[in-house]
Amino acid sequence: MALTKDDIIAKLKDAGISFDIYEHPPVMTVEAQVNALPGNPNTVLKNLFLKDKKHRCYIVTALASTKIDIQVLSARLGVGKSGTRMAPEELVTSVLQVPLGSVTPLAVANPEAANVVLLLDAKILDHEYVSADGGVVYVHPLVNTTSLALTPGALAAAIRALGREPVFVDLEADPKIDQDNPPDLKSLADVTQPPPMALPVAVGAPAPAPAPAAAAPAPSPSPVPKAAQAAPAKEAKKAKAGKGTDPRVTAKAAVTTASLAAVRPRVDELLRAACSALLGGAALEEATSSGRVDAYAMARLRAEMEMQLTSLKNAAYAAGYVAGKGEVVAHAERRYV
Amino acid sequence: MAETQPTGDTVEQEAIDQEQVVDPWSVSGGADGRIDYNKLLEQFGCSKLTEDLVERVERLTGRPAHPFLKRGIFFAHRDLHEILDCYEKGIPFYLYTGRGPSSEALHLGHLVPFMFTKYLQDAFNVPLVIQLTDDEKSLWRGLDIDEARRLSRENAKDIIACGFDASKTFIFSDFEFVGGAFYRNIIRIQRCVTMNQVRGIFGFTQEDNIGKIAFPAVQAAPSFPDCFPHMFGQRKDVRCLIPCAIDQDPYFRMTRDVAPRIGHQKPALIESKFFPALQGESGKMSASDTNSAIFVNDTPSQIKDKINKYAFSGGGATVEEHRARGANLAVDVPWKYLNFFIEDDAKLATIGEEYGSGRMLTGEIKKELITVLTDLVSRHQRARAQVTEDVVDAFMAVRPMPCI
Repeated sequence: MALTKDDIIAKLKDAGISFDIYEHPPVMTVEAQVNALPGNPNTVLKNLFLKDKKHRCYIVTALASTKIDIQVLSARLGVGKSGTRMAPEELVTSVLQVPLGSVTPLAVANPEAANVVLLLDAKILDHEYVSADGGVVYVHPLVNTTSLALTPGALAAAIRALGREPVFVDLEADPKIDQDNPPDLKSLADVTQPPPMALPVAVGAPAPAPAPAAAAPAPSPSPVPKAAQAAPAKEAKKAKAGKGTDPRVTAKAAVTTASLAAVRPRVDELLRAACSALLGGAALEEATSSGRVDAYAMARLRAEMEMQLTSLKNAAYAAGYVAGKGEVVAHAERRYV
Repeated sequence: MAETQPTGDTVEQEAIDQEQVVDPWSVSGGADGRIDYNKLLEQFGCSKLTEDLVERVERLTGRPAHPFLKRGIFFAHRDLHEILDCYEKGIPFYLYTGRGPSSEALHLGHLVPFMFTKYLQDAFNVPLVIQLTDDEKSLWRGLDIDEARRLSRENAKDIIACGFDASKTFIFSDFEFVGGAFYRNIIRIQRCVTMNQVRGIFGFTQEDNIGKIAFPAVQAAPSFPDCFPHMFGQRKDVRCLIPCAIDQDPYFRMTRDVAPRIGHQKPALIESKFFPALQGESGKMSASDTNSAIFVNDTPSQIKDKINKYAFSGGGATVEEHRARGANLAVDVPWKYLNFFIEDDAKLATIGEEYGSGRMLTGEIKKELITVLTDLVSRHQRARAQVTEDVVDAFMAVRPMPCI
């Protein structure tokens, strides 16, 4: 579930971060936010929410004066200069779980934003821009009716308290990128995956079907693991339901958790191997068609194998479940600490 | 064709005017004791499951249709073509079926919907929820509540033995699971259905206890995916397909009526005929009459005995008559059972010809059936023996199941 403004403020306080709180009417732009704050400070941070062509998402937090060229940034992230754009508005609410106009680096606190990369402007740490003597920067605590004022050090500590290592980047740099000079921010992009809600509607994925009296379907909060998605996506592809390439199913993803647990293909393999071994190299189809094996006996053997493998699979699943439960209980009891 | 009187049955003149009665708690045939399925279809207003729908299922799933589908045992539906449209477009759906755990003694008739549901799960690769209505049995049969809960778990073992996929199947008992999102949907449904309506649909009276009157909402609720946040989050766009016997139709007519009023999709249905009792097609099998059915605990010799002694035969009264006139396949129970359980279409067709023409004798067709049933039941018993309490716990755990 998404954190509220009070949740995030409490979290930061608990972590010993010091900050001041300013309430104001809702502000949708940096300019409005500056005007709403006492002293009209120029250290209000601007936030861009970006999505690249691989559906990975980024929050870029910078001083208002820092010039950000999205094309340059995109190339540095390794997706080419037209590979990144401002994320569509609905992703602000569905991925970051904040209302429009409230994008903030603190949004990484929401579990749904676990896959969002946070890039902080290195100038925030530069004393030329933010005074070393108690100079503060301003960020929203998940809502645009409040701003928190923190020193750059406190901001970095806050990000750490939310479970992320803050990454400061020279956002105005425009390094040459070629064979010998790989994109410098690519490693930051490559460690992450697309947040599920940022993925396009594709094979096997939800397509919001409008129900007459219903509101839009609520987004699923839990990220779906790649493996579980791959199998239905592949099955539906077999059914010729392709809607363009599904980014989650790569050519290399032949072996997934779901595919390993499928019983029927294993039964086929076993029967083939058995026929080959026991009938002197005969193929499975030949065994019954040639009359060497009675069709009913073969069908019964197949059913038997399916039953045994399914029982084994269930027993293994149950054992895994018990182990998983045990891990949680042991953790709560600090048994192995 | 020989018209033999059903053993132990008397067809009286008055009975010719007898109407068939089908509701979730009792099933009885019309004048000749038989169920007129076409009349039922009309009366209930569901659609016939046509051959082209079966072909479409085969094409979409890339495998032969289950014998129950090919042979018209699952013969009726509501909105199945919509589900198939969804499947084609990649819109997810899930399966929902259930059992009222009234006794430990399951018979083959009980297994039929589960066998079919397993095929659907495998063919479409979809999640499944299975409801054990232990509360219903406590309300209707006055079953001791703790006994009902125990029976839920015991029945779950037989259900699991049918071969469901643990990673995509959630089995739950009402007594353990009702609450939270599920209960909230029960209330939403209950708000939309009046006392008059349930009286009209289910025949409740002023003397029925209030649990019975409110219960239909409990069986309706699992049609809505947001009852299962651990499987579907808060999604309301996931469709539901319910395989069940045709006598459950009233519950889901009510559910389909309520669905749009509470912002949900209507569940689709795929419905089966009744599995005939050993003594003939005059209604449902009864768990309390051991000779009315083949039970999953029966030994090979019990199976042999029951088929030989009690399976109603459409064969001739004498060998000569049989050779001359052939068998009445319309009433012959071994023939009907083979239609359920022989997978090989060609073999079934051959038996039909040979027996129908009188070349094959009753004893021979019964022998064929005994072999098939013995294999089936023995495999089921061995599978069930491997279902431990941990396996049941795993199927019933409210664990994250990212299935779509």
